[in-house]
Amino acid sequence: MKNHSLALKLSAGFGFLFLYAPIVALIIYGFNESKLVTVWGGWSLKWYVELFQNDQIMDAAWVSLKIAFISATLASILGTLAGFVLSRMGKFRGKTMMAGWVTAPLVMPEVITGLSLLLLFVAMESMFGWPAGRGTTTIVIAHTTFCLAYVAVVVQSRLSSMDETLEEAAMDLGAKPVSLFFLITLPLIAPAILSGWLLSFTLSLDDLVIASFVSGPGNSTLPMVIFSKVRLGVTPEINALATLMILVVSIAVIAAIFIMRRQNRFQNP
Amino acid sequence: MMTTSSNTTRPNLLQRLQTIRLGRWCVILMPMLWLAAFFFIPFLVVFKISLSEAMIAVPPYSPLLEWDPSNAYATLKVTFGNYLFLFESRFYLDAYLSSLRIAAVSTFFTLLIGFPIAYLIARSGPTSRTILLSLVILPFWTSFLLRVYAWMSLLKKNGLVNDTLMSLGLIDQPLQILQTDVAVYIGIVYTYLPFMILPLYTTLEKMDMSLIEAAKDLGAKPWQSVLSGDVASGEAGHHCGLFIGVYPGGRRVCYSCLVRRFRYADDWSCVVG
Repeated sequence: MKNHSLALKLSAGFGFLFLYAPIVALIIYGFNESKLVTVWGGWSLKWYVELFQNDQIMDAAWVSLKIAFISATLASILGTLAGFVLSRMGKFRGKTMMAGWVTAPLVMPEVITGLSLLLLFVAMESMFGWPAGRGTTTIVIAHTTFCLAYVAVVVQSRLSSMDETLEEAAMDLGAKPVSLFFLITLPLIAPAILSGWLLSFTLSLDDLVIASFVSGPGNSTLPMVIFSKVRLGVTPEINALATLMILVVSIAVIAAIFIMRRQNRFQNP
Repeated sequence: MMTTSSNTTRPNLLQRLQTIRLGRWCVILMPMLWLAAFFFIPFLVVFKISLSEAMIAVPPYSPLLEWDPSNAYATLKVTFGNYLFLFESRFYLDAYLSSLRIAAVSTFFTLLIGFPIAYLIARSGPTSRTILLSLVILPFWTSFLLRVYAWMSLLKKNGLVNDTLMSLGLIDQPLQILQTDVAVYIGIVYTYLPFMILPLYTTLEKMDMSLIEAAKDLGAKPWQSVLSGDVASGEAGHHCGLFIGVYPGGRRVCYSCLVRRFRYADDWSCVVG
């Protein structure tokens, strides 16, 4: 079974080449001395220095990280509650509607999510005076709303694949619902919540369309800044930034795999 | 739908939880109110605007309910003109059709490139499987914008692709790839490849290998067994992969403005369509 045919290996190899050629080229050109991305001028770290001196990019990165952190956390809390309610609370009035609301943001085009939230924020501002202007708060609300859906789906699938016996046993032993949730259910679904949080963090960090709709002046997120820079042409600073981001993500992914493998070994020795 | 605790057959967690109803409703209402406020109501706002007429005013559309103080009743003014316009205007029709075409073509290529990878991963040993899978997942976690940006420098007039083709003597002068449909296809296929590979892999992994063995025993060529056996039983995964592939493909065409300038006029009232 290990002997794959040459054709399969070649076509899969082509696929991986397609996946990684741009990334490798991106990283290499980030170390290019020359301003022209396509002309090789020798190795240099100059663009990394310029990147860290570029206030616009650094500010945007900070804004983005802050927004991603807050909205991932909020989305994890609300999404966990939503997933829990949908899979453990049985039937209640409005459950079907809620199930629809939870999954709809997943398939809703981002343009529409962004536009409808923008219209809501404008209407709210003229009616209640809040949120005053658009900025970090509105982006956090928008990101929480669409990330919530992802967390809810992950948590819900984890809960439905897990049987209720442990929770029932705890109940039989007299655990109150609140302590039951925090002592039994939460630790059991913690991996799902964590992966939901990570997913939300990445989605929020990556989002361009929704943020463009709901952000205000002076609150550009990193993708917005990258987009506006890239539209003017290719700049090596962006290559340097991309390399750093790929590095961070690679380390995180490798660490996650390593931890998961260790956990598996621990669980089934 | 009022209270349904009595019609479940098995006494379960929920019935016991129902003893404290107040807490229960608090838990239910928290995510629900959030979704109502920031998902459902905005949608209603858009829907409302879609039924009103465009005006040059603030806000730039007519009110639905018109209150006449002298008669003391309100008139509901609804127009479906925006929806009709959506189907009449060539501009929007062309945009839909080109979105569909781009989605279909890029889904085909995503499947073409993604299937061998998914197949190879599903058929390799545990260690190489982990490595290959993480190689597929890694680009998925990196910024989508930067991945498309990476292609821009490759596809430029004096980029790597053109240089390579020129030095190989395949073309005499650089091809214009950026700002064409080809660039859009490459960008979308590239961005959505992991979304195609992962569901395909899950299906292929669960698939019964004995089907293929049987096909081989009966003298099928490798590609035949792949086509008949795999494609047939991998069908569910395909659909899943295809769905995920097509859908964002269609919806994210707006992103392709990165690789090809894509103009669309903003018509707020028509957004619901």
